This record gives sequence, C-alpha cells and structure tokens, in this order.
Amino acid sequence: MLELRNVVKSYEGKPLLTDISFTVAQGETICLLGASGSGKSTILRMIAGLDFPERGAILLNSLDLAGTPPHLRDFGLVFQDYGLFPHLNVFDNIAFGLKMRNVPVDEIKQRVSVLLEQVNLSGFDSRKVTDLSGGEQQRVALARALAPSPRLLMFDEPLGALDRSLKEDLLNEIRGILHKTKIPAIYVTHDQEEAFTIADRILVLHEGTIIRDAAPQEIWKEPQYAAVAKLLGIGNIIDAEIISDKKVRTEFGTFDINCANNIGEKVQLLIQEFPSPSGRGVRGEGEAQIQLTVEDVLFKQDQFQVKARGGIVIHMKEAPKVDDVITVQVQVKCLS
Amino acid sequence: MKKLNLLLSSFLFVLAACAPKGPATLTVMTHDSFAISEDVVTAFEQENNVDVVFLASGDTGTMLNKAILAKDAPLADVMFGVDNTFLSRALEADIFDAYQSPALSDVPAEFVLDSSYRALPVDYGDVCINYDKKYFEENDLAMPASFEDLAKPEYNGLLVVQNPATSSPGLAFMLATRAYFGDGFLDYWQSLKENGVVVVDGWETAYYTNFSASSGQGPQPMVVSYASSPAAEVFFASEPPADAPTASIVASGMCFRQIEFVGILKNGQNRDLAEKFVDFMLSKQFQEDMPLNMFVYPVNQSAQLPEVFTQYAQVAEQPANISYDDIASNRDAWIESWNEVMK
Amino acid sequence: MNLSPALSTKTRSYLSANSRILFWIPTLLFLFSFFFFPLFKILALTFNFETLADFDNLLVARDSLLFTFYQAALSTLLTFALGLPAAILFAKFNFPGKSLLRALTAVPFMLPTVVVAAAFNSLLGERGLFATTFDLLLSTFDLQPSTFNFILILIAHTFYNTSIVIRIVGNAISRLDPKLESSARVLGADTFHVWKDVILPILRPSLLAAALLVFMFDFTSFGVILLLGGSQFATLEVEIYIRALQLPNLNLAALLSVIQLIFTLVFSILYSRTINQVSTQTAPRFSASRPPKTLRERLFVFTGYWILLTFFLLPLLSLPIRSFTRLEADRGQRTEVQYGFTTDYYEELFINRRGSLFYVPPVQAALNSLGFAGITVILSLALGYPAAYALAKPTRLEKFLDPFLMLPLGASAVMMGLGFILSFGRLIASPFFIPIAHTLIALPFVIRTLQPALASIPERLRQAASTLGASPLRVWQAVDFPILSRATLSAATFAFTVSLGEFGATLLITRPEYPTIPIAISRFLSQPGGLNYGQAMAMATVLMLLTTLSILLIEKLRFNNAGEL
Repeated sequence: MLELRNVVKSYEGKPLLTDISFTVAQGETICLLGASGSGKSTILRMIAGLDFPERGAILLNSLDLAGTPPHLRDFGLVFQDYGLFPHLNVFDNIAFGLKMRNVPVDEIKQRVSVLLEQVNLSGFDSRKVTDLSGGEQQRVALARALAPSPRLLMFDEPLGALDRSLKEDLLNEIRGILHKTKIPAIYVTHDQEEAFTIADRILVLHEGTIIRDAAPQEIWKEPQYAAVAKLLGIGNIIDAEIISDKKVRTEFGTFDINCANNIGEKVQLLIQEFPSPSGRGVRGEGEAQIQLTVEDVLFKQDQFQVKARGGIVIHMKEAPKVDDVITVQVQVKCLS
Repeated sequence: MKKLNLLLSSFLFVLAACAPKGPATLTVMTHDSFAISEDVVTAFEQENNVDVVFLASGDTGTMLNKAILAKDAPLADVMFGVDNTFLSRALEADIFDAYQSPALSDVPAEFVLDSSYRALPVDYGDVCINYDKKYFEENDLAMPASFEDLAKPEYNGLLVVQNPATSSPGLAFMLATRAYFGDGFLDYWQSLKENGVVVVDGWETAYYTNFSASSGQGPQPMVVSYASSPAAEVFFASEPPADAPTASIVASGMCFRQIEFVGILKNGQNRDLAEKFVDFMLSKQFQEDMPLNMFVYPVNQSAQLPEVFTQYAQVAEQPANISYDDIASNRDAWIESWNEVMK
Repeated sequence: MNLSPALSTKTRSYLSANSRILFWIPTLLFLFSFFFFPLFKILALTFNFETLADFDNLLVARDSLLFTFYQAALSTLLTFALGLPAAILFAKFNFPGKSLLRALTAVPFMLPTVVVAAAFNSLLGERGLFATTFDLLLSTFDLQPSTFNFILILIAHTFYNTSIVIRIVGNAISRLDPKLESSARVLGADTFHVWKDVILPILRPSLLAAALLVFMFDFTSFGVILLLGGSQFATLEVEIYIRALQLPNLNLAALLSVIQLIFTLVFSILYSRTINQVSTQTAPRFSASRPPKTLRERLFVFTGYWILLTFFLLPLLSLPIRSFTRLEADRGQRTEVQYGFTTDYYEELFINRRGSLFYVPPVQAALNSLGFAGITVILSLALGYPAAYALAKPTRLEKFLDPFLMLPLGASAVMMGLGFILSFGRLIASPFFIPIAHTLIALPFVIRTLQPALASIPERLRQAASTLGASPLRVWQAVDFPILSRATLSAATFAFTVSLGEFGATLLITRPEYPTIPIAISRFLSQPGGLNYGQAMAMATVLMLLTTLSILLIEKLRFNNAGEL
C-alpha cells in the first residue's frame, strides 16, 4: 500500500539519503533500523508530508502523495518526546485529530474514552498533559495518533526516553494494538530488541540506502553486512584476509570458507556461537572450532557471558576461569 | 516624607557636586529657542568671575509653568523668555523680584509693560503671515491686504495657522484677530474654517511641513510665522539668494508684536549677579548678538541691526493693539472658544 | 518543571523569604525615589476631588478616554497585522539580508517623533512620493483630511511598534517545539487550524505581552499624535499636556493623569495575571530557522520581505535622501527651485556659524547620546536583574509588586516632569537625571525580557552545579549567564534604543551643553531656513546610522553567542 521509490534527500548540502525504496503492505509493521543521524526520521517526515524528497516518489496505493499536504494524508506520527500540546488536557489532545475532521462531539467523546481504555488511561480525561509521567504521556501520544484511525502509523523512536520495564510493557501494548487494528506501521528505532519484538520486517538503513530488508529471523540468520550485524548485535565481527580461493586467515586461525573475494583482500567475518552441539564431527560450510583465552566472565541470569581476547563474546552454561583457554564450536560467515 | 526628601536630595547633591568647585554659578532658565554667542557669554563670565548655566525648559508656557511650580525653591536665578501673552500669569504668580535696571534708559517706554519693573523687556518680534512669493507670482494672485481678504474664495485652503492652545505664534495670531474684530473674532474664524484654513499644533509642523516656500515643500503658500523669518530664510540658505523667497504681510493690524521679558526669580541665590546679568541682557553687546541667534529685534535702540535684518526682515506698520491685562483675563476663555469653533 | 508549582513555590518562598526582599530593594528604592515620590508630590498638589464635581471636566475626561481607547485599539490591530507575519518570517525562515531587515524594523523605535513625522510627511504628505496614491484613496472613499491624518497616526504607530511584536512574539515562535506543529499537521490540521488551535494558544502569553506593550505605547502616545494629527485628536496624554502646560488647569490634568494611571495599572495587573497562569512549554533552543522550501513558503518570504522593506525602508530612506538633496527656494534669481545633490548640510554641521554658545559638534552630540545610553543600559540591567530573578519564581510578594513595575510606561511624561521639579528642585539640572529618566522607561522592558529567560533555567542545572562544588557566583557564571546572555543582550538593546531615541525635553529640564542627538535635531527644526532643515535631516541620518549599526552589532553578537551554546 505504501511505497517509496528511489527517494533522494540531502541535508545541509550533504547527501543524506541516496536511494531509498521499500514498501509497506496492509497490516504489516516494518521496522526501520539505523544509526542515529542516518536519516530515519527524515524518511518518516517525508512520508508524513512534513519534508519533501529531492527526487523519487512516495506512493500510497499507487497514487503519488507529492501534492497531498500532511493534514490530508491521514497518517499518524508518534514522537520520542511525545509532542503533546501543552495547552490542552488529555482529552483535548486525543480529540484533536477528530476535531480537525469535524467528527460530531458525541462521537469524539465515545472514541476518546475507548482509546483511553485501550492505552490504560481511563479517567485521565481532564488531566494536564504536563503533569503526566513519561510513560503516561507516551500513551496519550499513542492514543492521539490512533484516534482518527489513520491509514498508516509511524513511530519515531517512541520508547527512547522510557525506562526498561515501562518500555517492554508499552512495546507489547503497541504490538497488540497494531495487530488488532491492522493499521500498517513504520517503527523507527536503533534498539534491536524493540525491532525484533515488534517488526514483521526489518529494514536496515546504512549510508543512505536500505542495505537489508527481510524478516527478523532471516536477518538474524543472515545479516550479510557487517553494519547490519553490528546494529543488531548479532555475533562477533573479526577482521580477516583472503589467502586462497577457500581459505581466510584470522587471528584465531585459518578457516575454510569461500568469501568470493580476491586473494589478499581484507574482509570481515561473522563469528556466531554454534547453535547446538549436535552433528559432532559432521562439519557443514563455515563450521569451525576456535580456541579462546578467557579475559572476563559475567554472570547473566541463566548463563555466563565470556569475554575472550580479541574482543569475542560468547555464552556458556558453566563459568570458565580467567586466563583459561577454551575451545568453542562456531559458525563463521562472510560479511560484506 | 520629609526625611525621604532630604535623603534623596543629599544623595543627588553628592552626585551633582562631583564637579570641582570654581567661580560662583548663575543659573538662567530659558525656553528652548534661546541662543547666544559663546564669546558674548564668555565675556560676561570673565568680567564677573561667574559660570553661567542655561537651563532649556521647554516652550514658553512649559517654562513658565515649571517656574511657577518651583516658586518656593526656584530652579534658577534669572528667567528669560516670558512674552506679553504670558506676562500677566507670571506677574500674578509673583515669581519675579522687581529690578529697575539702569540699562532701561535705552529702551523705549512702549516696551516696558510692567511699571513695577518685575519683568524687563529684552527683545520683540512681530508674528505675521509669511507668504511664498513664487506661488503668488506664478498664480497671478494678489496679496491679501486685510484679515477679511483671507476669507475670500481665492485664498481657499492657502493658509496654515497654529493652534493657540499649543503654539505661541498661533496664540499671537489669534490675539491679532481678536484685537481687530473684537468679540466677532470667532465668527471670523468660522469663516476662515469654511475657507479651508489648516490648523496644526506647532510652528515646526506649520513651517516645515505645510508651508510651500520652506524646505518641506508643503501645500500652503501662507503660514503664520515671524516677520524676521524671511531674513532667516536668506541667512540659512546654503547659497545665499539675491532675494528672500518669502515675505511677510505687515499690513496694519495684521501682526501681533511679541515682547520677551527677563526677570529675577524670587528666592534666588545670587541677587547681585542676577542684576548684572539682566543689565548685560539689555546691553548693546548682547542686544546686537541676539538678532542672528534668535531672529528677534533688540529693544535697545542703540543696538545696530545686522544687514540681513535691515534688508529682508520687515517690521509691522501698526501691530495689533491689545493690552496684556486684557490678554491675561481672557486668554484661556478665548482659546477654549476658539477650539470649540475650530473643532 | 514537573514539580507541582504550588509545592515548589511554597518551599522556595519559605526558605528565602528574607533574601527575596533583598532582591527588590534596589529596584523599589529606584522606583520610589524617581517615580512614585515625584508622582505623589505633583498629584498631592494638584489632585482634588472637587474636579470630579465639574461636569465639563468629566466630559473632557470621557471623550479623551474613549478616543484614546479607540485609536490605541486600531493601532494595535494594525501593528499586529504587520508584526505577526513579520515575527513568523524572522523566526522561521532564513533569507538573504535577514539581519539587516531585522535591524531595519527596530530602527523606528529609536527615532524621535519629529524625525518620523518629517519622514512620513516627505513620503505621504501632499507633495510626497505617494501623494497621488493617497489622494486617490481619499477621493475614492470620500475621506476627510482629518481622516487622512488619523490614518497617518495609525501608520506611524505601526511603524514605531512593529518591532515590539517581532521581538517578543518572534522570540516565542523560535522557541516553540517544532514537533507540535508536525503533530498537529499529521493529525489533520491545515495551516489555519495549526495556528488557531495550537500555535496561537501556546503563544498566548507572548502575544498578550506584545499586545499590552503596543497598546500601552499607543495609549500614551503623544508626539506622534500632536505632530501628525494635531490636538484635535485629543488622547488622554495630549489633553494632559494641554491642560497642564498650555491652558493652565492642573487640576484637570491631574484628574486625567490619575485616570491614565489607573488604566495602566489595570492593564499591568491583567498582564501579570495572565502570564503567571499560562505555563508555556517552550524549549530554550529550538531556533531552527531555515530557508523557505515550498512554493507557498517562498511566496510568503518574498512578499513579507518586500512589504517590510518598503514599509520601513522608504520613510527611513527619505531622511538621508533629503539630507543630501538641496530643495531650497531660490526665487530671487530664478523662478525655479534649486534641486540637486549637496553635502552642504553635513559640512555645515561642523561649522559654528554664529559662534553660538549652544553649538555642539555632531560628534559630541553623538557621544553624549551614546554615553547616556550606556549609563542607561548599565543602570537598567543592574536594577532589572535582581527584580527579574525574584519574578522568575513568583510568590505572593512578586504577584503584588509585578504590575507596579510597568506603571512608569503609563504615567504622563508631562506630569512626571512637573513632579521631578517639585521633588528635586535645582538638582534636576544635573545631567545624571537624563539616564535616570531613560532608565525609568527602559526598566519594564528589561525586566520583562530577562524574566522569562530566568524562569526557563531548570533549577536542576543550578543544583547540579552547586553539588559539583560551584559557589553561588560560579553557579551564576556557569549556568545562568550562558542561558541569559541572549536575553541580556536583548534587554540591553531595548534599554539602549529607548535611551537613544528618547527626547525627554518635556519631561526634564535640559542643559543645552549636553544635548543628545534628538535634542540637536529639534533645535535645528525650531528655526526657519533651508540650512536648518537640511542639518536636521543630516543629524537624523546620523542618528539612524548610529542606531542601525548598534543593532546590527548586537544581532551579530547574539548570533555568535547562539552558535556557542
């Protein structure tokens, strides 16, 4: 339903987005992931009509939105710092979009009370928004965006300012609401946990383009790019050098893997803990054993996080001692 | 209240007394139009070992009101600039001490209005209609020869006057009409109003904005100003022209003679110096310096007039005849009723 | 910010009730000595209740009050019609020549009324540049010449006061969180609704503040009305002037000035109530002005730019043009007027032709003006800072005192002048009184500019600094000052500009040896002759250049400073 086609945008004379294309289907939640300053918010602003692409097009149901001003687009937008109207109370904030659409007063009242219930803020109608806590303010912002039943919802790092437990609660609420309402959504974040929790599809924005666009589990399995792996915190990334067709050399030894690069080139490899110890002896592509010197051990609830020399982090059921040399089974993949 | 007053005064006195002590100080209160040459004042200061400080205190009415308010603790020792339209108010308020200056010997008796010598005449000037010579030439229009002429249709919208409530030439001109028409002067003004007379509040606006012969290039070729203004137009031209661009209508009864007075303020501090300063103002030296500084005529008959005056400035043939007592008792009522008519 | 306000003020006032009084002492002492005391003196002498028994007096009071309201309301509306779009233009957009245009709009505020009147007459007067346009307007709508004068007054008020709206409202707009506008737009508000339902309500305090100041200036306007209209347009202030100084009826003048004071007090109370009620969610640094992007924005910037440029530049330009143009009647020799370029008037400024005692070289007049303005800035900042500090977290004491700070703006200058004479006698001739009088008028601006900035400093920052070992002075240096420096510069500009343009001749007795530029101009204009007029225009040009330069300098400082933050 929503499509971005070769969108180009620069910021203060420097190219920010070089070529952005993606689509969002009905009922789908996509997550836009990228480092800060990568232009995620700009994409949202352009979709909302608050900013304009220099080239390319934004289409809704195959119709170009270029001529449609933001107030006629029927989209919802939720900001990290809420953007609530300080001069209006909770009720009037949520009712704002409905009033703009000249919805009858009775209907507004009814709709707002339903929404307040939905975001667990029943009875907050006449509270001043400036007196609410951060989480409450964000619920109001969510209800406000939902009120006019937008054709598309956009979230610009909505939970960035909240503490961890609040974040989880609210994230689940948003997820529930999105599933129930079937409103397509674009969720911008730099937090991989949020992304994995909420997204049907994750889009990774890097250096002005979308370098990866796939379902969460697929990305987890095949991050393909060092940038994606880093951003999503998948495995360990190490430097390597191609020494022959099927061999690369690293500080942890030489691996048999075909990275399709020229000999002598430097590449980056992804080292993941082997998913399960099954199939001992039968080695698939990229499976290897490496030896690590333990530098530090951290207790992490049901397991131990082991930091080894060379910056590799793995998890173990039992804690090794510092300076022990341990042997681990890993999966090695080429990154580009 | 007294305590606070004292406290403040002493505080301010400390501020004011920062200047080093020197010769005695004589303070002279004047209206804003007062001007004098530096060497003339310096000569007086050296001769009498005194510092003369001038206080510009607003227009004549404002200055007088300030002086009356501060009667008990006067702001100055000498006050210059009260004219015959305000004289009676000054005398009634009793702000001056009498002083019969020996220098009055050179001054014709007609100028000495106060027989008890509380206010002594210093200068005089005639308030007359000034006109734009070129306009009358180009339009082949005859000069109005009397007040009655001004109400004729050919002069419709050609005259700008000042409000007598806010301007002293305006008041002077109104008094001239009052002297001429008597109680019928209001009817005359009604006819002037119907003939498109323009009223503004101050001389500056009338002369520089409305008058056509001034630098303002305004719409009216006739303005109420002074008979000495044509001389000023010549004197203050960047390239002095051969003839003045303006002239005054000095026909009998159409001008009002303003006489300005000096007086020694009651409760002043330097009676001796004040007397000397009054003598000085009447002296030939000061009287000859005055015309080009203030564009007024000296009352001292021995004073020589500058050439620009003898050549371009006119003197009223027969100024309006109206006594200052008459002015004193009716001034405010006349102004009020004038304003009623002109509203 | 999120603390319950009742709680926070309560604890604060409890903790520092005594020290709060200390904050007020300098300001109150100043106001009592130089405002309330002289005012009391003159009113005690002249005000009596018998004046009220005279029906004619009441009629004068009623008529002048009604007319004052009428013209002030119209002037304020007109000022906002121009000032609000201008404030948006400056707050939201960048365009070439912005700072120059901004400085230009602030220049009129400082010009003495004689100069502005001359400028308007040379433009719109019957022989002015736009005379035909106005003739056409007059004849089309069948207007009386007095209506024309009235329109001129309204335009001149707009010309004077637009910079107030630009400054106060523009400041608030640039501090507005842009997300609010985005939210509203996405929620379906078009431009009209964004303004009606979101931006204007949030800007309400600043709009009110600006409207109040503009209204107050129009309410007490004096010179503009006398010079462009005449005393037929009898506002309260004009009527006071006439009754106090020309037609001596000091009792009626006192009655009128009491009425004027009461209304000023009412406005002030309304104002301080409103501003304390409305909590604004404005962040200190959102000044994201940017080049116009869409066609509509470009059109807005383009038209706004040209309208402002025309409205402000033409009258201002007419002064330097006249100062270089010979327009003297020279009819003795030819029947033509002498036209042409000349520098005579400037050269003449440096010549003391008559050896006059009161001749002052233009440089000296400029230095006098700058000196007085400098003292005014220091004095009003020194007095304004403590009061603004106390006002930033108002307790009952502040809520009571607040409205009184504005009163000097609404007091009749004429009556104050007389009060000064009664209170200070001969001391009034001291040149110190000039900056004191200027400070009286500048102080309300200074406090009003500093107070919101002070209120916007989060207490947490101060606490953080002091727990890190900073002494109160260091806290002020490290936290308050950087945040306040912009506001301080704005306040200083206000004080400076008020002082530069303040004529003050009716208020005080002046020493002709220390003339300021406005006084020099009025001296030139009080005598006939082309040279005098030309010199007045030349002097006005000097004043204009001086003020424009100072404003540009301050704007630049402000900009650099904002860059550092």
